[in-house]
Amino acid sequence: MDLNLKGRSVLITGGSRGIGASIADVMAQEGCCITIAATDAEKLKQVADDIRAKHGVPVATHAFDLSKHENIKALADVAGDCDILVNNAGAIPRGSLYDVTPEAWRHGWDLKVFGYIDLTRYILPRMTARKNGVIINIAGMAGERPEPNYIATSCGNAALIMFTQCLGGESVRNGVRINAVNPGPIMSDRHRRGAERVAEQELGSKDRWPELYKRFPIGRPGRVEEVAHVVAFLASDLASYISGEIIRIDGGLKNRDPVY
Amino acid sequence: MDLDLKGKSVLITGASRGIGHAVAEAMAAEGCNLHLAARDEARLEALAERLTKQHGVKIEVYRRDLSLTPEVESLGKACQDVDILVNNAGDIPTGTLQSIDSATWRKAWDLKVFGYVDLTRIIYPRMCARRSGVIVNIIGAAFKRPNPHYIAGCMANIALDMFTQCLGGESMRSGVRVVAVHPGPTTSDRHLAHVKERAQRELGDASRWQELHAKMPGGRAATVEEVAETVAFLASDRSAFTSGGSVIIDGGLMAGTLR
Repeated sequence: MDLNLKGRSVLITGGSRGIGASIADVMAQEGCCITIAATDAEKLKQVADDIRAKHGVPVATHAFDLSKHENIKALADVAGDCDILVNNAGAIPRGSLYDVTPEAWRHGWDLKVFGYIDLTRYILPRMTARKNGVIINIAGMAGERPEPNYIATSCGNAALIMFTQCLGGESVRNGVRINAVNPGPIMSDRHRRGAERVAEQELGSKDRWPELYKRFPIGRPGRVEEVAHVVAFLASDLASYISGEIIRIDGGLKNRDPVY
Repeated sequence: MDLDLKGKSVLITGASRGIGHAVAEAMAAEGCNLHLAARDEARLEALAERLTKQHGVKIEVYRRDLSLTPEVESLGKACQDVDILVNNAGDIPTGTLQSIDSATWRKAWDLKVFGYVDLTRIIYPRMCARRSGVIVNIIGAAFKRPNPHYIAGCMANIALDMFTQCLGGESMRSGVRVVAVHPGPTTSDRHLAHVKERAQRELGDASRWQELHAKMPGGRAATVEEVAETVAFLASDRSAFTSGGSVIIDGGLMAGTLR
């Protein structure tokens, strides 16, 4: 299947690692011109060099802390004319209502909730004016399932799902499609560190982390490219009638029988 | 039905007008002692004086701007041992992504999203420690249907519904219930401003707002009393096995269609 993405420009936030870096890689493989933004300039450069060497496409990098509103604006100024925007940067702290302080909750949402809102605020009007564009929000399965020990994430992702639905139901009037994906547990670096910590606590050794996934319907966490492939498809014209939609990528986890 | 709420203490935020005001009336009528918070102290004092006279209950008022974290925290500490918390203060503007600027959006969420979260963070653990208490979050039926002209409200509401589910799905292990009510259009000053704005946008004339209500399945907005009565019921032991759930009070609007 040819996704026909060759030559399209893609801006991916949080593109220096995990799901974001994988999306950059997969979109580059499809011939897109890549722009990645993240806080860590060194990591961005590594990912960019790697993608250029593998796929021979142009890759631009912008080192910005996107939890700060002025940086969102600055990124939109330099990279806002993209055909495709992937809002992905986010690291909302894990924990219960007691664990997550007012400051930590707000700081997590500055990046993942307000970051998505404000970058879209600046880039969507340009797509609307051109009558062409796609926005994909990486939300997360916790937004569909209450998780008390991941409460700031559950609430933030629920809001981002609603954001996608509010905009995506109307943006198509102006030729712009807006969708989201909801990854379940995906083995990114960030997730791996968490899994090792839990394995250490519950099983006595961090090396036993794969055993944590035995109870999953598929028996393993997802791979970053399993998210990236869906994002590439949604970004392509093959998905030209899909807008305001949320695709869950969780290996059946949300709908498994709760008793087993 | 006796709700058996007599003598319970209730903290109600945003009690100076609209739904919060009506919840204060309903709870006072049930014999509850009230803690009322809002920015407008004069209106709170007037309400307190009248309800004290009518029902002989004890009422404290607190002038607070609950969009400011320190004021949320001082209210939480002053009222940390209440039996019932009604999170109600909120005023999220209607508008689109482009018409609501970033600062306005955040300020609105400081009150309605972070205000609920941060007040709950103080009071909920006290309830759990006592193994008794009810939190009722007044949220809004907009959580149910995406609306680009109320985008900041839809998102805040679904986040708060999720908040209610996250806590309410666990709280009964500690003897506490956390529930929500979702009013649709309700005859408050705030709603009237919204519906007039919408009549201007859709019908070209703000004074024709009643025509918008006529299109709804219920043919009218809810009264504030209809919402307040549901809150009183959910706060009472008559609904002792309800937690993490919510009641939509919208005259069929979210399930139905406009005509």
